[in-house]
Amino acid sequence: MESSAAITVTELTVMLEGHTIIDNVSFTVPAGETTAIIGPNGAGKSVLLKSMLGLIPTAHGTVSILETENTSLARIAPRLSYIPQSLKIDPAFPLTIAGLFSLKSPRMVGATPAEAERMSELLDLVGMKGREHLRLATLSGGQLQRILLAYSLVSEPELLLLDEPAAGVDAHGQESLYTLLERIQSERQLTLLLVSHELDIVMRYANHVLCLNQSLLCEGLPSDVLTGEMLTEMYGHPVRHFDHQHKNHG
Amino acid sequence: MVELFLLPFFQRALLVGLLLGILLATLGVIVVLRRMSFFADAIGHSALTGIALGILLEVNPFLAALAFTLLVALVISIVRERTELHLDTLLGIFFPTAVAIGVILIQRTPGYQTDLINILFGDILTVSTFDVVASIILSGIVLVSLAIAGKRLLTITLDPDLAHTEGIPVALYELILLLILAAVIALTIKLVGILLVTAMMIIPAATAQNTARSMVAMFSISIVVSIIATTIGMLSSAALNVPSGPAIVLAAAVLFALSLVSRSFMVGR
Repeated sequence: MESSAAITVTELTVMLEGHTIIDNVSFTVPAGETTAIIGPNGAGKSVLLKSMLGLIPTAHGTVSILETENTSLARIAPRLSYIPQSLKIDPAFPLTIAGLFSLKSPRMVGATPAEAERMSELLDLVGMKGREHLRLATLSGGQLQRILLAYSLVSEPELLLLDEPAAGVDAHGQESLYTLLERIQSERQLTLLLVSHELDIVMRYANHVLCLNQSLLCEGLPSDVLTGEMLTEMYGHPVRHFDHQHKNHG
Repeated sequence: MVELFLLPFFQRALLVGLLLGILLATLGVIVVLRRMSFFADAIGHSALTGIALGILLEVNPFLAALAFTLLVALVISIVRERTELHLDTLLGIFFPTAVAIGVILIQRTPGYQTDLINILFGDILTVSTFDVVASIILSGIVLVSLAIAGKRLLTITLDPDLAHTEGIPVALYELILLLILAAVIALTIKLVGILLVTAMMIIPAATAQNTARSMVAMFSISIVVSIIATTIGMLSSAALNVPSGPAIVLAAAVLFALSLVSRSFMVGR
């Protein structure tokens, strides 16, 4: 079944300080599926994601997200959520989990009872219920990512973009975070676009992959496109991965 | 001591001190969390140049200070966008340059040197009824603006990229914050002096940061510290016949020291 595109990137080029970081890439991100951008360190994965969101200026090309040019993203902001890589919380920033959620409330202080109830449901979803009064700065990497995931779902987005969601999380935490992401994606029919360098994770959880090393080297179903030759071309040396059963909603 | 509260000049001074204290303590929370303390200090000292320019050009010195601090805030904002230099480095250039120009201008203004001490420390005990009204209007406008924009400014402080994807115009909010800071500093210097403006913006917020466990607590503690320091500072100023500005700063500094002790107890537990 052919799905529609949640994101369409056309001939995108990004230059930073005179160097080409992303070179003329074009691709689509299918709606309602999990797409992973993979590539070696320095391949430009995070730069690609940030330039798509308008966080980094582009030299050439266009990006359309949910049928809206990325220069006008403010108009569709509630329909998408972004989780940055390893959010750095200043230890002296006294923002609690409840305080974080209240930032999205139109109330000047705190949140409405309905918003508090919604927060409670979302914290329950990510296994953090009852910890509303903890300060963000005291959370472990895995706990913080779960909180950010719950926070990202407040506006009930259609599209979730995650930059290395498991960076700084231990192996067990990574596994449970991706299992949680898979469950949320499937239950809510979300479009997920994530940057990852974990090939095994990508093979297991993504059903669409974009191979990046400055330019786009491959695009498609992980088991089809992540061949030994492709991985060698992308990483510059032979790469092994465990052959997991990947999802296939298509 | 009680009769002091019956004197109109003291009532006016206390009212202005408390109003500006609440205003500066609230703004200070955002300044401290965004690590802009040095910026506030630099803006405060560049007001000195604005005042000197006003005297030389024969325009109201405090309006000249307002115009000059807004200009400095805009220039810093533009240069920051266009260079790779950190804000602290830029301020390290702007700050002494502005002060140097200000001191030279004041030195060349006959008969005005003696007022330099007033510009630095202010004299809150001499405020007029007009100053009281101006303080009420300024505090009202800025506190309402902060109440409306506060959550968005905190989201930007948490992570500007996250804020951008939530549809918050980050650059616009940052510019508005710089302009509010510049305006508040320039307009309050006349009443309380450069030293007290930056001290009352930073010390209560830093004291609150030492003890607060939530954002609401940080704002509340910062305001309470400011109210206590202003009241104690002004009473001791009158009782001991010492300048009011430094007395308020010292009272706030003592409260900060107590917060450090309290924090070490909390951490030790």
